Formats: sequence, C-alpha cells, structure tokens
Amino acid sequence: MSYCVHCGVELDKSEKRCPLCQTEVINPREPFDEKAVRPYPRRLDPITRQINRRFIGSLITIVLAFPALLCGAIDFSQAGRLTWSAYVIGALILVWSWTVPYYLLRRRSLSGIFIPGVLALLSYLFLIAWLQQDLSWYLPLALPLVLMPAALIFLIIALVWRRLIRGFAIPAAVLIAAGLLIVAIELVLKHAAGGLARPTWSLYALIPCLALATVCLAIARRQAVLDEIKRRLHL
Amino acid sequence: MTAPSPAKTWYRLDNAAKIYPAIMRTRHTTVFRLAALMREPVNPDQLQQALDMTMPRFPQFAVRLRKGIFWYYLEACHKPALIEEDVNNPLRPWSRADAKSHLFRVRYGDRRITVEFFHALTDGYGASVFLRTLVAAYLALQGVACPAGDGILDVRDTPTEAEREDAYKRFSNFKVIHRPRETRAFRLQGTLLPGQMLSIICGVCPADPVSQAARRFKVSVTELLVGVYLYQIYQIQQQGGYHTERPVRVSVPINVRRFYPSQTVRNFALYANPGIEPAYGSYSFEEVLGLVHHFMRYTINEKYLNAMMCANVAPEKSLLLRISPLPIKNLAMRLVYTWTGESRFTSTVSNLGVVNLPPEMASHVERLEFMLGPSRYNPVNCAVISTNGQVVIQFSATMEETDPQRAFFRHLVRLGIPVRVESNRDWDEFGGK
Repeated sequence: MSYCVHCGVELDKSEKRCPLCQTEVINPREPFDEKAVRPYPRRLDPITRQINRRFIGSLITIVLAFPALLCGAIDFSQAGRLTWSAYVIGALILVWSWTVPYYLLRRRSLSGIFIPGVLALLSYLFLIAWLQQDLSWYLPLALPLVLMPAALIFLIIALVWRRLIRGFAIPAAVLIAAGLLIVAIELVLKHAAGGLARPTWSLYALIPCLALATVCLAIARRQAVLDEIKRRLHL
Repeated sequence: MTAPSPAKTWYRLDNAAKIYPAIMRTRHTTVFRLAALMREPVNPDQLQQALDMTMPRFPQFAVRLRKGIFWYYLEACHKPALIEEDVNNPLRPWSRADAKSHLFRVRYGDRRITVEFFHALTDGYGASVFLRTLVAAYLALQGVACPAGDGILDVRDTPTEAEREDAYKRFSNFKVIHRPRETRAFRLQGTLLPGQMLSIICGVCPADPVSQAARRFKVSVTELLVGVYLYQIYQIQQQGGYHTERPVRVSVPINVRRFYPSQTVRNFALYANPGIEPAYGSYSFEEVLGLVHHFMRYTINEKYLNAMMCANVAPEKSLLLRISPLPIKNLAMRLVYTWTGESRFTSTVSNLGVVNLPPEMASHVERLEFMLGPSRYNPVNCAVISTNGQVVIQFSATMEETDPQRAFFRHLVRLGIPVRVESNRDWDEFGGK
C-alpha cells in the first residue's frame, strides 16, 4: 500500500497520483500498476439537453403570427389592401427569421441561421423603400450598412465557434472589427453624400479601439493574469 | 401491520419532492446514488432478475414524472426497469428521452451494484431500503438467503399503503413558526469541470477511530464530520483570498423517521444548516465543533422539527399557489430556491448513518457507498454512510480544484483517523491538473 507523502492518506492501487494534492506516488516496493482495476469505470455518460426547442419555436411562431394576422385583417378591412400593416407584418417576419430557425432546425449551423436573417433584414429594408416609392437610398446606404457589419459579425462568430480565437483574443477581435466598421461607415456615408471618401472623424474611434485591442491581446498572452481574472470573475 | 392497498396509477409528489422537478438542471441534477460494493464481480443477468423480482415490492418507484396543469405528478410506469452499465460520471439528470421511463437507474460495475434516484421519488433512507432489498434478492439468486427485516423488505410481501404515504402531510398539523431568516452564505469557487464531468473522491475510514475521535470531543460522528468540514471551509475562506466575511454554513439533511413513526419509503427528511459567522472573529476547531454540536442539539428535536416541517408545508397549502398554473409555480419555485435555498449554505454533508446489514449479506458486501449529485451553486457536496465497520465519505464535485476535500481528509488524518482514498479522476486526461 502507498501513502501520499503530502496528505498522509492511503491511496488505492489504481492511483498514479494522490487525488487530493496530485503528488505523484513513488513507492519502490509497490510501483504504480497500470493494470490495477480502477474503482470507477472509464465509460462516460453523455448528458443531453432537456429543452424542447421545437415547442419553443412553435410558441414564438404563434405569438408572432397572431398580431401579424390581426393587423393585416384590420388594415385590409379598412383600406381594402395592405398599407401600414405591411410594416408591422414585415417587422414580425424579420423577428421570426432571426429567432425561430434556431429552435426549428435539427442541425443548426451558423450560416443556416445568420445568412437567412441578414437576407430577411435586407428584404425588410427593401420593402420599406418600395412602400415609400423611393429606392434611391437602398443601394448606396442600406445594402453596405447591413452587409458590412453582418460580414464582420459572421466572421467573429465563426472564429469563436471554431475555437480559432478564444479568451481575451475575442474582445480584441471585436474591438478591431468595431474600429474598422466605423471607418467603413464613414466612407459609405461620405460616398452616398457625394463627398470625398476619406476617413476623418472615424479615426478618433479607430485609434482607441486598436489601443484597447492591443491591451487585450497582451493580457491574452499572460496566463497568470488570465487565471487571476478567470478566478475572480467566472460566472 | 397496515393492510395492503389496491395498485395506484398515480401519486401526488410529497412536500419535499415538489421542488426537485422545478430546479433540476444539467449542473443540479437532484439525483443521488447508493452503491453496494460486492466482494465478487456482479453477474448482470442475475442482477436484472433480482430487479424484476424487487420491482413489484416497490410500486411507488415504478413511476414516471408527468406534468399536470397545476402540479407535477408520478404516473405508474409499466415498462420493465432495465439495468445499465456503471459510468465514470454518474448522476446524469433525467432528460426528455428518459422521461418516459423510471425515475431511478440500477447500474452495475465490476463489483458494484448502484441505484441512482431522482430525489422527487425518495430520500436516502428509502433508497437504502430499495438497495438492500435488491441486493438480498440478488444474493438469493446466488443461493444466499438474507432474512427480511431491519431495512430489508421481503419481495414476496404485498406493498402497504404505509410505505408510500406522504408523511409530511400526516405529521404537519402544528402551528406554523417561521424559521429564522438566514443570510447568503459563503460560496466556494473554482474552475468548473466540463459539463458532463463529475469529480468523485471517496475516503474510507475504519469506524472505530472515527467514533473514538467523536467521543474525545463529546460530539456525535455527524457533528464531528460536519465540524471538520465547516472548519476547513472556513480556513479556505480566510486563506484563499476570497475577501468576504459571509457566513460559512453546511446543510445537513435529517432523517426524521426517528421522531415521527412512519414506514414511508418516500421523502421524509428535513434540513439543519449549522454554520459560523467569520465576521464575529476567528474560530478555533474546538469552537466550531462546539457551535455545530449545540446547533444540532437545538435543532434536532421534535418541537423544532414540527415548526420546520409546518413552515415547509404551509406554502403548499396556500390557495393562491395551488391554483397557479405549473409554469408559474416552476418559475416561483426556482426564484424562491435561488434566494432562500442553496445560496444559504456553502456545501452539504449528508450522513445516512450506520446502515445495518444482516451477517449473511455482510459477508458478501464489502461496503455501501453514498453520493450526492452536483449542485448548481455549491460545487462540492459530501455524503457519508457507515457499514461493516467502515465509514465511507464520498465527495462529488463539479470543480477541478480539490482544496476542500484535501483539507477535510488531512484533518481526519491529523485526528488519528486512517483514511484510504480512491477517485474517478484520470490525471492524464485532466492534463495533470
């Protein structure tokens, strides 16, 4: 029999280290036996999530469908066609497209949820432009101002999802993306206004973002600081 | 003896059970387990036969959980209960896929027969009766006859109404005296293990040195173990850089059958939360032990338990609560549990006490083991059971660090109690942490 030199407890033959303090067992008379029967099996029991997602999806659909139908019916009964209710119905469809696929899809993927959501947003903006009979702002403003943040958000989520970035590299990536996005927004706005497409005020936002991102990246490389933050702030 | 009653097709949940379905989560499974470590390898076919023989004796366990409009209830489940292989991370919660089957699992390992119970079904005592009856049936198939009595039921007997009564309802007929309000307790923190992992550290001590140490301090074994644990958590709080003066409390379930004559094998337990207030000054081990001893003596008596039981049952009798739909009740129960339940204590020490085995069974069973499921807020729980002259102390934890377990066992060693430790942790897989 072996004892932990640190804790004073007797250890089971199957223990390579003391389970209490992780001190390695060194007993020349009775070395650790790899073949010793372990007191607990190695097989793991998978834990399944208990939420009925399809039910939640159906519930959200019903909750959204009810006001959409009600508004449509009232509008149609008064005007004989869809006027103001088209905005409400469009907005509810937009909410549906962002929330329900997550619950209804059996095999959820980032692109399967995100891309239809972005397309629904673009469609809703197009609907507004079409209802106002003014499509002039759609191509130069709406399209780039939706697609640019969507692409950056998609990229960051994909990187986090695939665990290509983790820990403090995530806020660093978010800050860099936010800084670049602000610059891009300024360029788009100036281009749409017919002015010179050169960044000015957005640089004041870009520089602090990059500075903070550098701090985050520096922290991400310091394991001791990370451990301390994790220990104190974990949820 | 109570007369046998006709088979029931559904049961109301008892007072203690009502909260468990509402608060069950992946990290708070409200499942516990009892195991019999046999001296010989377990024969799965014979164990399945023994389970088939045992189930008719426990109709109150042959149930599944269903949702009503206002309350959850237990509905008779006619599917056969099947044994499963033991796993490294036991005490999995009941998922939707499991909902159509029984609320307990019987598992077999190399030499271990294990039962895992959803707490809504029974408490530690009820589970120990089931396990001992199952082991007796298993040994009977191997030609070893174990006499019924003293916690072992005869599988040929007819189940009685007294065994499946809601004892809380029968005994909570006293004037309600509200329990004193408790403030939020100190909470242990550490690195959480990946979702499905559970760290099990089991310490086996000979019973005699434990009782001698308890006698030396003029306390009971439960008080000694609770005192040691409480003192060590207090030390961790003081030295661990937690920067908090929150009280350190340990929840101790009390089997109240010795105060109220009931044969029920459903839930019938209450809780005492002994603790210390670090804000009042520093404590020595003897002081902590004295506080635990006096608190337990003050709490565990019939009058105080009457008040506690009535205070627990009173909300259930409220008309407003009764007519609220189940989803609202669930929400309310989760909120109440978050505010007044687990946050009021730091950890749990559940001592099932000495579980007697008849000599015929004792010669085939090395020891019994008892384990609590993980909690959502408190990452370490401790369960104790004594059989065959051995005290088995099993810690189940959802955090990687083992400071409370190490400090507890080292203190026992310092008290002159030899401890043998085993665990489910594979240090290579944990990266040697």
